[in-house]
Amino acid sequence: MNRRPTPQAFGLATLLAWSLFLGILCDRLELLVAAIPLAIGFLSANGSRPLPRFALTHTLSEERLVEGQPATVNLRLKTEGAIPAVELLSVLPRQLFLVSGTTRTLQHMEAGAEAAWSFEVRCPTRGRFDLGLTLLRFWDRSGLWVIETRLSQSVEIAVYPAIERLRHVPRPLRTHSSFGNYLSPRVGEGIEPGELRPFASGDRIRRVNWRATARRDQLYVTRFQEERNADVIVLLDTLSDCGSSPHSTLDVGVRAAAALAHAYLARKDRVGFIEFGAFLRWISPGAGRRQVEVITEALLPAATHFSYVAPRLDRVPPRILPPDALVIALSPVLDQRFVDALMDLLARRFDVIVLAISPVHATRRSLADSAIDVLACRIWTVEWHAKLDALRRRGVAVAEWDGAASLEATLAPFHHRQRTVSR
Amino acid sequence: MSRYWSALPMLVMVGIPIWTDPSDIVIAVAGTAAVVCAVGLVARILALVTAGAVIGAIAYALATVDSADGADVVAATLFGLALLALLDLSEFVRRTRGVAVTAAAVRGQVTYWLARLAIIIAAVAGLLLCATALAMIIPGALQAALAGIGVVIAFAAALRAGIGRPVS
Repeated sequence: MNRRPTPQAFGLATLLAWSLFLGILCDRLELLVAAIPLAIGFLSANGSRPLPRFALTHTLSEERLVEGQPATVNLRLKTEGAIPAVELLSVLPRQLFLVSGTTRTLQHMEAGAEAAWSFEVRCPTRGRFDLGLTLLRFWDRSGLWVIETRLSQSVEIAVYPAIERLRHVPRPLRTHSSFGNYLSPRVGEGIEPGELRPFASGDRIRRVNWRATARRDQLYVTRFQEERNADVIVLLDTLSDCGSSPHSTLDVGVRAAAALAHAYLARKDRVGFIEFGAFLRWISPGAGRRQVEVITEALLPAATHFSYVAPRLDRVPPRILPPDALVIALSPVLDQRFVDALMDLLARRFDVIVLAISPVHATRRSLADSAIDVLACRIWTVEWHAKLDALRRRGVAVAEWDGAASLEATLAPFHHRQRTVSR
Repeated sequence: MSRYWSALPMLVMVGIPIWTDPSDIVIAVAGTAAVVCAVGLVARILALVTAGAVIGAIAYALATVDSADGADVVAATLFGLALLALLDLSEFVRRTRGVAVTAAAVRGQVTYWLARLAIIIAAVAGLLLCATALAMIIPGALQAALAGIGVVIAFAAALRAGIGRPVS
């Protein structure tokens, strides 16, 4: 709490001193009389007024939002004593925008009275934001004294990435041993007919294929393909970020990661997450609705942190990065450390798909349409495509995405790929 | 509250010196005061408003020195009120810029200003009556000394009340 005289008090003191000085200097009564209102203005100040007890409460219409969704913040101030004038400023985090209402208000409070006001905010980008910081100024009626204080409460709002629903996703080349939605090349228990073979001792009668048996005069049984799931690891490159929020490559990457995780988890796959940045952060693969929550929560704080350290994926334990997992890497492909990590995965025979998020598109959004910018972006596009082509030549499956096109359409070339027998 | 409300006391502050003595020098100094004040009001800089008010006080001092008439107490009181209102209004407008001010807050502030106006008028009248009575009792040589001591005490008391360390 900071109690101090305001600049107005010093201004008034200056005026009072000048009036008295000029009155004595000129030996005129008028200036001394003119000083009387100024002196009374000073005397009316009450700098020793104690700060009354008060309580400020915040309530949110929604505590969990999706990017772009608005939320209403309601504030309620209750005081025990009278407050001549209290100015309140609810401090908004930089990423939040005020849609309607005001975050600053000046209230006059009677003893025991309650004041309420609200405002609407919108957050175009994901993250966790604290709306609990409020700055208060208790003004003396004369305006010569002010008490400043700040109130910090925990009023957290979580903004989740907007998710594009994906009906089709890239098919993993290798399946896992658990039950799932992918037809495994391996035959066994299942519902999808696979191949025919002559009846052998121990085969169940209900598996006999009577049509083939009648045609060949020998008992034949139908074998079924097993339905298996797969491990999918979403690898998010946070070493570099281009463009401005909410259209930066990292924001677009986070949205894509959330959409892919949701889509694979809906197909009963096990999905894990690795943030490849200044430090490695991961979520071990899992299935089910809880994993959707876990991965979405893990994506919220994803951010770039500058570092000279080159993170190494070979230090990630196999239970986090299973050898037969499909790795979907989301990256603007700008940092050589990430390219090296991709090469390392490829050398270890991982099934890798790179979703290259165009840094040029993200940057263009925040640039003017000047001729020099357009030319620079064209040169950059050529250089970036050359980098992607170099990756393709080394055997990496690369899909190029500008963040605006449909993610499903971008990944369409990888929907049906050649399958291999599960281990 | 619009900042143009502050122009009203500014006009009074400039008008009174010119009305008292419409000489070239007074008009020039009062005009300077008006310009400085206006810039301060538009730019919402309290220091400029204060500087303009000080120049206005100098213009009034020049006007009273040049004027051959006797002391005009009503005009002087109005001048002092204009200075006070100018600072009050300009600062209130500045600090409520972009703030949602409730009707109760504005009502309370205006009531306070009107109450203080009444006190000031009563105080001026009371002080002038006391001064007249004392002038009749105290001999001429002591009047100046007493007035000087009174000024120093008034200034010290005002400072003590206004920006002195509060009693906690």
